[in-house]
Amino acid sequence: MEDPIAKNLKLSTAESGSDEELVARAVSLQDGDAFGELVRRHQSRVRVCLRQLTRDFALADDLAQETFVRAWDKLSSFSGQGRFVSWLMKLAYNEFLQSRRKAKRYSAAVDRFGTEQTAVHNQAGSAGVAFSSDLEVVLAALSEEERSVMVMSFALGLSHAEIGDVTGMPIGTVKSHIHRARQRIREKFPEESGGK
Amino acid sequence: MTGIHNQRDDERLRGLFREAMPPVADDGFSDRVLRRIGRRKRMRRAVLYLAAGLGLAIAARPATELLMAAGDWMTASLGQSVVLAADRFEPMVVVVVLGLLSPFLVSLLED
Repeated sequence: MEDPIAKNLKLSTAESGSDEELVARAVSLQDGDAFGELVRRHQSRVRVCLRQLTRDFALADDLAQETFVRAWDKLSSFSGQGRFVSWLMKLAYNEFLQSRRKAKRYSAAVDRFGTEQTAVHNQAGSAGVAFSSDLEVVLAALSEEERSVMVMSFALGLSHAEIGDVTGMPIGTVKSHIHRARQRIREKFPEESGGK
Repeated sequence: MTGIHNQRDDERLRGLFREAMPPVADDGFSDRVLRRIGRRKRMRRAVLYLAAGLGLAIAARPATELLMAAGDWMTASLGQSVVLAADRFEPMVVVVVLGLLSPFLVSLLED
């Protein structure tokens, strides 16, 4: 059995390190506590982002879990160039894209068997959607790309370059998406962005 | 002028996002992730042991025959019976020896 003092010491060192130090510890020592601290630090950002992208809380949490499991598997490939959160968001975004592709394949297959089953699926799919604010309603009306870059920029605080890296879009495209999304927010809810 | 307007817009949007998307409470999420990683590690290890065991079972007979041939050759070339005498090697002995080596082989594979 592990000495409680040693365990506390291990936990406190895990809590105090920077993301990069924790990654180094997790990779070199296979330190589960260090990785656990990384999960605790970033779970909120990953889940917020995925909830906005999927608009389904349960699916978002499943994808977030998958993201962290994948992060553990690929942790040694994190080069330390750029922020850890940006690397993590790239994994999360890929998980989202993969799930969307699966959903498309699924609905295409269901379509072949008739519309009755599709209606049932759509009902079940919308069960997890819950928007608590006007902003989320506005975001839901944006295109997927616009929503993604807006959430990453304004909710997660990623730079344009980081968003480009995460989504694979050129920086110019990121900027134009943000510009268009801003305009659409102004059009739909002038009081939201008109500077009250 | 547009720059200032955009800056003000950015600040306003950041505020709106902060308000609309507050941090999500952990509520056992991290523990679930870590438990899942632990399960995967155990599963991976089990698969490796199983694969190593299967490999050893398949390799046991050819390995025994190889050792027997080596024993025969050494007996013939030295003109006397050596430790590797054919009748001293049973497949089970080889399996046990290789089985004892398997944790080392598995740890090599894991690294």
